[in-house]
Amino acid sequence: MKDDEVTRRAAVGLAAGAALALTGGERWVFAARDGQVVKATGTAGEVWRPVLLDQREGEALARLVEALIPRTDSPGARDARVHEYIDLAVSLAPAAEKKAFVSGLRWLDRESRRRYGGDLAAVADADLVELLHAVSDEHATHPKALEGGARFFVDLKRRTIFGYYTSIEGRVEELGLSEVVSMQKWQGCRHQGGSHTT
Amino acid sequence: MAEKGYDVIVVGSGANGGWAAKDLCEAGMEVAVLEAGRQLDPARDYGEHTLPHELPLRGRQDPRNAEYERRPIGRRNYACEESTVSFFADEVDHPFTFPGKRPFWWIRGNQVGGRTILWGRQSYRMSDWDFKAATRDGFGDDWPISYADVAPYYDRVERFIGVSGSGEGVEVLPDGEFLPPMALSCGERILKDAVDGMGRRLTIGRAAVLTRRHHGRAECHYCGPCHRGCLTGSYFSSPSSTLPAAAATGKLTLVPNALVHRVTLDREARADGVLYFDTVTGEERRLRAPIVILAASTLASARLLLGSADERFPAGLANSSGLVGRYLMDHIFAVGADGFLPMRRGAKAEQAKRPNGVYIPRFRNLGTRERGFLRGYGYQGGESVTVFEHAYSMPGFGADWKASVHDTSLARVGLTGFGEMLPRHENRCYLDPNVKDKWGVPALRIDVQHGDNERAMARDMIEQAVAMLEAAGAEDITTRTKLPPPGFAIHEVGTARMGLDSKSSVLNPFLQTHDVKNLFVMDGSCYVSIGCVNPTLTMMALTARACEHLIGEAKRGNLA
Repeated sequence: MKDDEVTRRAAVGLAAGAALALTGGERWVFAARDGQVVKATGTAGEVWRPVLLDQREGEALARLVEALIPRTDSPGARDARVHEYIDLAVSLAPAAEKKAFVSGLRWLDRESRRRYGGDLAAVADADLVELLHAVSDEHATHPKALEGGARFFVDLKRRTIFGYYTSIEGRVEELGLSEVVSMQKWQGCRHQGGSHTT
Repeated sequence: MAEKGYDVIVVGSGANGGWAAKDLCEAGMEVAVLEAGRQLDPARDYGEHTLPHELPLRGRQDPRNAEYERRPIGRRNYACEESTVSFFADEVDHPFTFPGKRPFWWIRGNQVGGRTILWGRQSYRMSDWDFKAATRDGFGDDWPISYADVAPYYDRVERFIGVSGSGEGVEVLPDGEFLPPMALSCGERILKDAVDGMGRRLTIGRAAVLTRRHHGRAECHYCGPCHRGCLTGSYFSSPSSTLPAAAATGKLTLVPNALVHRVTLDREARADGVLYFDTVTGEERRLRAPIVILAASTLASARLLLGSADERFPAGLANSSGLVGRYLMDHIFAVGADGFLPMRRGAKAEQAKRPNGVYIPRFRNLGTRERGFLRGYGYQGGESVTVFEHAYSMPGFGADWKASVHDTSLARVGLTGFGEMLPRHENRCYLDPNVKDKWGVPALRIDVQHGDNERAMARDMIEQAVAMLEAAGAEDITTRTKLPPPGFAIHEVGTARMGLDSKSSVLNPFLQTHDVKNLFVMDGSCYVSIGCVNPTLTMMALTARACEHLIGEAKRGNLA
């Protein structure tokens, strides 16, 4: 234990773990269990059952988020189970939002079949990435025929960013933040004068 | 509850109720504090150490949580989320109303400590630019007190609760008794150079957060979300500070789940106690004491006074002036500007989360009339270096994009104005003739609207925020131009204004009601004008002053 960091449990003597109850059908798990921070959410080997999407759409979503934020020398969005988070979050969203997301996912699925003869769950990685590039925010505008996909891309990317960078994999392993509550002093500016750049 | 002899009943356990309990218990009085809400258990209820990945929706409001539906107004506040939704008053059990076209967003706590669990901790002194504003610009009334009358009590309160800050020698923002200030960030130093260069002043916020150990409470460890509670008591809340001090005397009786609905009077029209509902059992109970203090917050205290009407006070208790509920004010706020400092691109965000921002004191209408509005405003804000949020504005995806997100950051700077709302007789609250709460007590109806002065001030706030950000070299500046409804700043004051004349005020300068000498109202109700600084510190100082007076008067037998 570093001098300037203590575990949440040690600092405050709390009983460990999160306090929210899981309801039926929900398998979201918390990254702190019994006072020990665990790196992966979920139980090893357990098959994820989507709340909103069907199994095949769930696999499509998993491949999409992984394409957006892939595993490199740190976990990717699939490792961080971002697809599970998005499925849960969208299932709880207002009806119009939920409909837009599912419609967008299905639009992309149809486009995948049209272009490559396979849906998102089955198409080759390279084809999936090419399809995402076609609808991505790298383009200022899109042909009318791709506008539905472009809107979905924006929605999906925002959710993936949030789901990934608030996950323990994203926060700790990718960004290098503390995996426990940080107990540090605020430093602020330490420049003696002049430049205040990085 | 077994009958016990109390010297004082205090209604409310927040900033002012807690202070009153402390001072009066330390003076040897037996004090009963009645609190409508529940007693929190910090170990169970405080969630400031919960990390985002430990919550299913990463801390965002969970639609499955039915508590949000019961708080349609409270849920709009930034602090209302998974860990804290139960800290906000249940608006189904405790309804209030407002005219459809003139909304008022009343945000309330509902626990021992009240909103001191949730508050923003910003603590500034008012000055004679506020207390004697009417003399300067001819609008409204002066306070019957001056800064010199309150200064010793500001000193006492700051010394006890602990306020960190930097002395600036600015007349409109008097310096206090400060703990060491928190440091500005690099971006704030850049902004400060620009703001100070315009003849204004930027300083670190003055916050009731400890920067060193203080009266047995630990120094802040910068974990982040103060509004979820603080296990180490490092920011001021009454449960962390004043209530324990009161309890240490052995003279405090704290009664949670006690919803006071009426102040009772004896045959001589002196206050002699209160009636309250036990919110757990529904049973109505009476508690007696020869001195009653209402510290339930500006609107709740007004509701109690109005609801305690009888044949001797048909318009409401202590309301011979007809002014209970009148002159309600709240700061205008939320408008301002934001931008990015290009010279700070790529800066690394500190993992420590400073629970404080910067403050720019008022610079308008200090000696010269400017811009078509009276009075003035200050700013809160600061720099925020993104951790990953810049990813939202980075086109693309994939491994290279991910690496760029890792290596990039943006330094956002923002300024948000807090401005004075003029006191107007027509801005008021009163008892709703139709709506009652869960216990059958009439709800409060609140009718307040902004005027031309507020709208003109808001326009200037936005313009000047942009000007200061531009001067600092900020780019991509955007403005926030929509004023939220009154109430949303959660700085509501007025409703039982103080004054020397019982025809034009409800309270005397010691927060004693003119009409009932053993009845006091110690909260924001007493304000004559709101100024532009956060009100909690001033209310507490006024409460400390009032308690000193009360103790003296009680000893002299003048409250019997």
